Amino acid sequence: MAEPEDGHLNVDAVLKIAHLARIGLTREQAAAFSGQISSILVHFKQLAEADIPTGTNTVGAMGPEDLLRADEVKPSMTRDEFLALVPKSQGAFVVVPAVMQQSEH
Amino acid sequence: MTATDFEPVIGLEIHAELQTRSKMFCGCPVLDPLVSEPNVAVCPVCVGLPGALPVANRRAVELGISVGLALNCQIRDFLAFARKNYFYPDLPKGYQISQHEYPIAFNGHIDVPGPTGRVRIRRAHLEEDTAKLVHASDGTTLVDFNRSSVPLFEIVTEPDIHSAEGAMAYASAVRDVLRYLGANSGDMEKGVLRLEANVSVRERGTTDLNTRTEIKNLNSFSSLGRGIELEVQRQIALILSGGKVRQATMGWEQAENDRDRVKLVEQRIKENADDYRYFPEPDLRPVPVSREWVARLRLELPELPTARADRFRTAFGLSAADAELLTADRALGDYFEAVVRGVSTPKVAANWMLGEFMRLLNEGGGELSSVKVTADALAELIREVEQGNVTPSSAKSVLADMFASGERAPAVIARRGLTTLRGADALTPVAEKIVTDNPAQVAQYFAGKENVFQWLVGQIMKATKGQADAQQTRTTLQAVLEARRPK
Amino acid sequence: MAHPPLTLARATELLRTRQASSVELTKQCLARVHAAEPNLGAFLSITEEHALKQARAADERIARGDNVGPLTGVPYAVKDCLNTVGLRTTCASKILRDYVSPYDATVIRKLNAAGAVMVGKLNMDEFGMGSSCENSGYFPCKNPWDHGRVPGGSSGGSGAAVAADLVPYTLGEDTGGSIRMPAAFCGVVGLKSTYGRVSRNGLLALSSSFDSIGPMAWTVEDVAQVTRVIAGRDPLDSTSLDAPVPDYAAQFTGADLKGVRLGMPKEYFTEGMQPGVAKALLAAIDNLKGLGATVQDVSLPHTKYAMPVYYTVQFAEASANLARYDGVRFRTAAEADDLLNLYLRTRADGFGPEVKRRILLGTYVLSVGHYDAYYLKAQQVRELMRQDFDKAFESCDALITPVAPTTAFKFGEKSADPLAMYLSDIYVTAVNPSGVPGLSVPCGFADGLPVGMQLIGPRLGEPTLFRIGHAYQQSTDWHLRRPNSETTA
Repeated sequence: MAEPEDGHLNVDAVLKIAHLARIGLTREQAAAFSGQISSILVHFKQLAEADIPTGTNTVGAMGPEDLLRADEVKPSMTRDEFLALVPKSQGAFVVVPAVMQQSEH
Repeated sequence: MTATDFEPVIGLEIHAELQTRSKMFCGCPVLDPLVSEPNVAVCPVCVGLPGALPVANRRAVELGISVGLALNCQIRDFLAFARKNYFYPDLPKGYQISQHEYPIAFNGHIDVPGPTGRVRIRRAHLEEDTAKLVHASDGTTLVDFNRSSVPLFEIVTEPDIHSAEGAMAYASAVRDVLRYLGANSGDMEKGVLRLEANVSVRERGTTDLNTRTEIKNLNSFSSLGRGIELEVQRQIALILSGGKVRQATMGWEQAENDRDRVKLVEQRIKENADDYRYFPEPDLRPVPVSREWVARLRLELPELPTARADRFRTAFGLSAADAELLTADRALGDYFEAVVRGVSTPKVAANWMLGEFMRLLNEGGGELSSVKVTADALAELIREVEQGNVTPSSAKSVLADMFASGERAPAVIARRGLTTLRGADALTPVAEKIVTDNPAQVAQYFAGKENVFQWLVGQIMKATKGQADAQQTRTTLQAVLEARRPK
Repeated sequence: MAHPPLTLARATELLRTRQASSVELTKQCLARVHAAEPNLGAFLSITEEHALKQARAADERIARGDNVGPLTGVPYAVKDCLNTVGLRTTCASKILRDYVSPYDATVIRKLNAAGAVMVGKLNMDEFGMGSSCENSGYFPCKNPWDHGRVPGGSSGGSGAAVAADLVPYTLGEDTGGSIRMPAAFCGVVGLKSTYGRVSRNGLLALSSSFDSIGPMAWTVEDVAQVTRVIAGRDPLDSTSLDAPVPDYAAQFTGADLKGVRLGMPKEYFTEGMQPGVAKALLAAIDNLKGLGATVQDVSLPHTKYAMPVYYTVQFAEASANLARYDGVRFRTAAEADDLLNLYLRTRADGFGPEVKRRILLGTYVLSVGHYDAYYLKAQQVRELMRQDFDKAFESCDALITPVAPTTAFKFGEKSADPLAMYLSDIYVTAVNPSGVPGLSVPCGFADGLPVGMQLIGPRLGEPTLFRIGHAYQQSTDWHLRRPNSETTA
């Protein structure tokens, strides 16, 4: 990914991120986003000025041990309820169109 | 240089589904994939509907910790999850909840029997499984979400394995541990245990870690071994011809009906490692894993396969091979120990278990839990033999009967009249008859042909359908013959 | 307006004394909604049949005297980011235009159990991404005080529906000011609850670490009553707090604030405030002093990082939370011959430009090579911001600040520059990363437009905020003013 100078992202960099996020963008659209995103990132770069004392914890507040759930089966959706939501289904299955040769992950 | 100058360097990843009742982050049931209808275990959480939130399964965490302990790992003092982000139809949320920075278990090892020795476990972590994809003939893909979010435990080794056999031995040893803990059935056909290998080669004697390839979709131990073998050969040939190994993911394809025509298909060159954009899962607060909890789980660990096999060897005087066979399955080992408690010689019990019992067990489908003969009952049969109430050969037939009917040995013996014939009253008439009916042989015996005696014993055995006590038959025959010895 | 203003308290009173039935109140409410819409743009769907069914059931329940509470039989509406069974939930996005949830959000279940009557789903910025409601994927919502101006966002419809007297209370959701801003711009009370106080199960997530659901109404008392019903631990939400829910309204102490220590964070009282806003706020502070509260200066030194901290984490989490909108398991999906195009087109067609922008930024700040400089850094500074608040609350019971630097701005004034829009959130964005509650209370007018003051409390400090807000409302009458018919034409 093209390293931004002072946070500037060029069109190719924007297109690469858009692909990672699976959002279809034309080059024109990417160009329009490029300026806005770059100026926002410059603002984010302020964070570099903050002085972080050693040992600053980012793990977040611990929850209680009883946050874990007992291993019990609970009834929920029926298959019909689920398939009613699905845009394309076939019999009991959800259908997606052909996966291209290049595997997604 | 030649191929023998190279050594394989292998790290393995094992993905084991954990045998819980419900899924990792929701209350949907974990179903047997071979018998269930598609898309019947679904809910907003495991199909990634808007607004649904995960709640972690305590039992899955316990099983993970137990497996970690059995693999001599350190257990982290808190449980934290991370999102692994990518798009694929088997991943409903567009991210998988896994563990990244803080795996629950790390820095462990397992001592694999044989030349492999100690394999270090780098880390083992909890995550949710993906849905199942079926590729339809028209090119579309069908998705079944039953498997989505089933608990998975991913065990990753250091590159400590140096042969295909070693990889298979390691995988087998880990599978035994998983089965012993009740964490996983080890049933490769159901896809509950999946193997991936990272393979590179280096010149023998060096410690380099060179570019490696990943082999996925290995769904049996034999394809694990064969896949590694082929990839090692491929890499060595490439290097010897002046080429360089490129980072790649290899998919395993087994040619149907032809074990030898298996091939690695290079799936994708890993030029850019996938950017999974891991970050801490904000919907699941980290939870403390107390040392008390871990200690309790450690106490609850059963004796593990290798330790148990050692004990059988030393305490019962069994051979290493026999000990291994009897400890491969935890339930079988438990059964064996119960039998040993009821007999005087463990080795005899082992012979019975590994011989006739095993044969009948396998004939009947191999499920120990459906066998009608309890350990107690088997021990009782063995005692009947030890006490001479039934001959060893009759006893085999008694055992078969017990398997079918569920009756105890004394009842079967009595019902079928298989009680060993003993004592002069029972044996003398038979011996007399045999001697009377075979004058020629008797004459030969008196003439000095010692081995006719054995033949006559055999005849008595035949006449009594093997029920005559061998030792007493001899003494009785001896007496009868002496009484008739020509003066 | 021929009828007296309908607050929750008034509605409950009417029902309790049998002066009106729930069906009558609901029908009147629906009539007002139909008169105001579609011109006002507060409602994305009006759930008439559903409402009347609930109203009839409420009337039966009231007749039986069966567990009748302050919300039983009273109409309300909810921001369209909360799942409602059998009814559309769109999050104001095209990508969910045909989505009907198979389950109710926990707060909806609680309100149903309390006998509340839901008349519709309210307009918002798409997926909560915005501060003005101009980013709705459908149509904008107008401010009832001036139809040329925004109601604030992202819970714009929630603020407008109360201010236009369509329903006595609404539910909104606040990730970085999304209840407090519209509350201030619309002249109503709005609570951003303590993170974890109200279950997020069934809330379409924007930023999982920040999203907080809360009520909006004319009075603090009404907001407190609703909060009591919707708050509480939910086993389906691992971030919901296991703390008892007090009977908030029962703890009110009238207009007496003796002993209450208020803090004024100096970083919040600098230049950049519209003069009328500053004036109203300082007058409110004097008023609170008059009620017995003491006021001191405090400092929240990391305030200047609030915007980058908040937006970095929000964009990152949102980029992951919105990955599930891919056209595979629920509508709406684009037509495509291969999987990649299914994803690309569904998301290109379905998401508006602000949503796309935020997903791109969020993806970027998490990506290889950038995670440490952006996301990790933001989380570290966030911890320092949390410590700032903890320290301030050692000497104060609550903090008082403005909600926004200006009153409601005109349509189009800020929408051309996303950065300018983000910067208008400066007073509200520091609150969510620390999980603390914030209450917006109307405290005056500037050029005929409402001004709100923000009370910030420690985590689970709702009782203190309610006490202060309620006392303030006992001694002022801003909350009794209504948009007059001239301004709402």
